[in-house]
Amino acid sequence: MAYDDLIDNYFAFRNLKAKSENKECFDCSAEDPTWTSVTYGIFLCMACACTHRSLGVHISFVRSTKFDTWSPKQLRPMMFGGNKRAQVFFKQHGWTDDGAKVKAKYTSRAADLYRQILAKEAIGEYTNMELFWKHLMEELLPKETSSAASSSPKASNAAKENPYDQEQLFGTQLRCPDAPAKLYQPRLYVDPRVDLLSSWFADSNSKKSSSSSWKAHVEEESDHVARRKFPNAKSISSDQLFGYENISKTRHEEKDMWTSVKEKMYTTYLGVDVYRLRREVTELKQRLEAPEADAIPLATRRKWVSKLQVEVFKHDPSTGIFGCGAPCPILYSAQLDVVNLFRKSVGLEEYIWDN
Amino acid sequence: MGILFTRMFSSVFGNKEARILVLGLDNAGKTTILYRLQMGEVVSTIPTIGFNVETVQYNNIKFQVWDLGGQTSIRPYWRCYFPNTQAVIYVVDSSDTDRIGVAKEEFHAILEEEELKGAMVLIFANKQDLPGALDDAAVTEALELHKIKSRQWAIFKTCAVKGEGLFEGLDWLSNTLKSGSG
Repeated sequence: MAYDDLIDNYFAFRNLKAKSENKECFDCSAEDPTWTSVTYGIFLCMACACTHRSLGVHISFVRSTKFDTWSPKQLRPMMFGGNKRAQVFFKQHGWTDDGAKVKAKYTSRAADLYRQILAKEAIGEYTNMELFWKHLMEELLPKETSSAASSSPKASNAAKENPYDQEQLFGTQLRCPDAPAKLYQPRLYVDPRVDLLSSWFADSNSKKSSSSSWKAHVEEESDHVARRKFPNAKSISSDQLFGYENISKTRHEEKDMWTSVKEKMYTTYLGVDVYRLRREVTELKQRLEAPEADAIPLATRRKWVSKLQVEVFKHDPSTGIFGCGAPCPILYSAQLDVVNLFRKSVGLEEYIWDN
Repeated sequence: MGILFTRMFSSVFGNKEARILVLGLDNAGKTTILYRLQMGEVVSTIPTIGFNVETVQYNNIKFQVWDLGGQTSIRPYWRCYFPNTQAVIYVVDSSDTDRIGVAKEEFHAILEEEELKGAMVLIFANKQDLPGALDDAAVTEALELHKIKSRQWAIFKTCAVKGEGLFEGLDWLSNTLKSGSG
């Protein structure tokens, strides 16, 4: 693939979007913004993102949290920035939330300054990729303080008996080295890739429990995790880190557990009712293949297909069928059928899927 | 006489149809180019999630132009549209020097596609009006166009919002289509 070190969107934005400051468009306060300007680390609605796009990348680099993939380099301004910080900065420099003068605002001296500040921080002092990943993981992993949770070294044994018990599966605590008081507790399920990852870190944390400096601590840990998993690797990519293949290959013990977790999540893959989508695709297919379908205007048929296509694909934007294949087989088969329905509706022959 | 000549001319070359794909990274200007060609106007665009398709009649050729969305996760679906394509217009944001490497890799991945083996390639080095935009020579170098030896290609400096360079590109395309597969 053309991109190194890509991060799963769902994973990347789970925490960032949960912050209340990022729940409104920075420019117009519209709800649930799904676009961003990486340049300023801000979240935007579609309409405002369009304005930003028209300014050119030297002013504002726009990306979607749904339809784009993200590299750590792009993600870091989002982590360091955020709507609140940008708002405070612009306010200090005399720019209010008035959405009317967008171009003037982002071509101003203040915008230029903020751009530089954020870029400098985002590049940071990370020359060591392992260190970089380690820090990134900590920024992105679910954060919840919990006094009740306690670390349990018996986790791996218990996991076999009851694969759905999160506490036993991933119950060990994660601690952020530069903030010892803060406990990182994996939330009750969601993306098992995230939680498995956190269990790795939990693993290494419990062995190297305390260290005086953050840097030494991290280096020991990243040595521990990364070298064990990727001996002789010059860099670590997310594919390697999150790859289903690698995880199951290298950790036989967890494979069974992994399979059951995966099976369980397939009824609702990333919170989507995949059976509903599958059913809708089948229904549409039957409808379009029925003899009376010819009576329906072509434009209408296309519209139906396109609408469902968007629905089926939007939930799984980071894994294409052509790349590694959607990890959920039900969703995958729905995607496959809807693409061929679409191809038929525009007069193309059916696509033969080679995997 | 003039009409007769035009008729004769179009009976030889006329009513040709060509299926064109407009590809490129997100925010390269694909949709703006499509509507500039079709209506001669600058429209304000939104990110294309899916596609736009329009017919553009130019130089006796009916171009069916497909503008496909450029967001990262949509790019894999470009492949659905590859069969029966005569030409690809690859649009590059010349001012986006950070991502010119990504643009190159996507471009060469397209060229390797079996279904696009016979397609000619027109490259638009777009957004020439923006500061720091690479010129056609620099984009040629960045995209490593010199490596393309098995097909016809051309690169044009364009500015879609001003309408510069677009029809020069279409001229090349129509001439090459006419002289090519007859």
